[in-house]
Amino acid sequence: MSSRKFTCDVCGSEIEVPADVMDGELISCPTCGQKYQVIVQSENIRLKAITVEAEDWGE
Amino acid sequence: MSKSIYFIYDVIRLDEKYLINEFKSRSIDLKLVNAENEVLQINDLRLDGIGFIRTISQTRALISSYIYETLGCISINNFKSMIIGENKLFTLMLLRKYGIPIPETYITFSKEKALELAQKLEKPLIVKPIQGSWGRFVSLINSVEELELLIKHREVMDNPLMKIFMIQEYVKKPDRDLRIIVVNDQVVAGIYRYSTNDWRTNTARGGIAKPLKIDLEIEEISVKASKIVGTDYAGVDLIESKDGYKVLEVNVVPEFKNVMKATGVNVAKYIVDMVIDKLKR
Repeated sequence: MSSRKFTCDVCGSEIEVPADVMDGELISCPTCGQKYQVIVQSENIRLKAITVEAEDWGE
Repeated sequence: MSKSIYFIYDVIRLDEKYLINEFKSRSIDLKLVNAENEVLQINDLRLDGIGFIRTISQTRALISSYIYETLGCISINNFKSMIIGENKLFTLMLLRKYGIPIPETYITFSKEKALELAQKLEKPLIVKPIQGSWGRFVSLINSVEELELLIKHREVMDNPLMKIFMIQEYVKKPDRDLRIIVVNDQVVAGIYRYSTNDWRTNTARGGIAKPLKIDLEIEEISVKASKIVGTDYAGVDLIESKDGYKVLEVNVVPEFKNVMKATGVNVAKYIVDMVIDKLKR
């Protein structure tokens, strides 16, 4: 798997993605709380910043 | 063609994690499908098995349900129940038709009529979009002026659903409601959801979960509501009025992590058992 360490787009802190992360999971920056959706595609991990929950999210 | 379980997701909540881990402990063919990346060539495609719909997006859930059902799978929940369950008006009207108690509810497409209603009815009132989630845009109205303001806000929203007004009595109740999980026409667990800093009790809005003892009345109304909407599993929301329980909603892609946490009941196991049972039939 690719690197599991990322830099937060908002505050520049280091974000470490846990080893058992799943595609689609949400994580937050430990420093500023910015939310990211984890994207795992063929062993590559990316983080997609989420600014706000979509209007049709939830039950 | 072998049978598979297609687990359709976008964002993995703790609920989906519990479900996936439970599936992985069984010897079945689980295919994780990220609905955000999926391309399906629909002309020749046939699929066999279960389309288990767990997207956080209600729109994707509804459309995925139709896709998997039409391609030859059993969709859980099924498409028809998704249409009804994702629409609060459809749900309440169907429940009422079969004798399930619901709050007193009015529907109008007219903002003028909405204001007339607000003038006439005892306040406070609740104004809800007929479609929506996590209590978004659900408003408590104490006066006609407040409804006027709400209408102004809704007028700048592009969503045509926001031009429909569902107005409900504010049921005098304890500061809590009930979330009951029904799987295969049986209640598996339930919680009280206490509101803390918000009049809405949604745990997504910070409501606090406490375990509850399932009595016959809760069991009966919840199972009936789930059956009427036609779900294989559901999260039924109840409130306690002076005349007994009333149903607010039947959630068709229910979140249950707080029920698991508060009660210790492994809800994910019950759901996965039900899905695998359907696969084997």
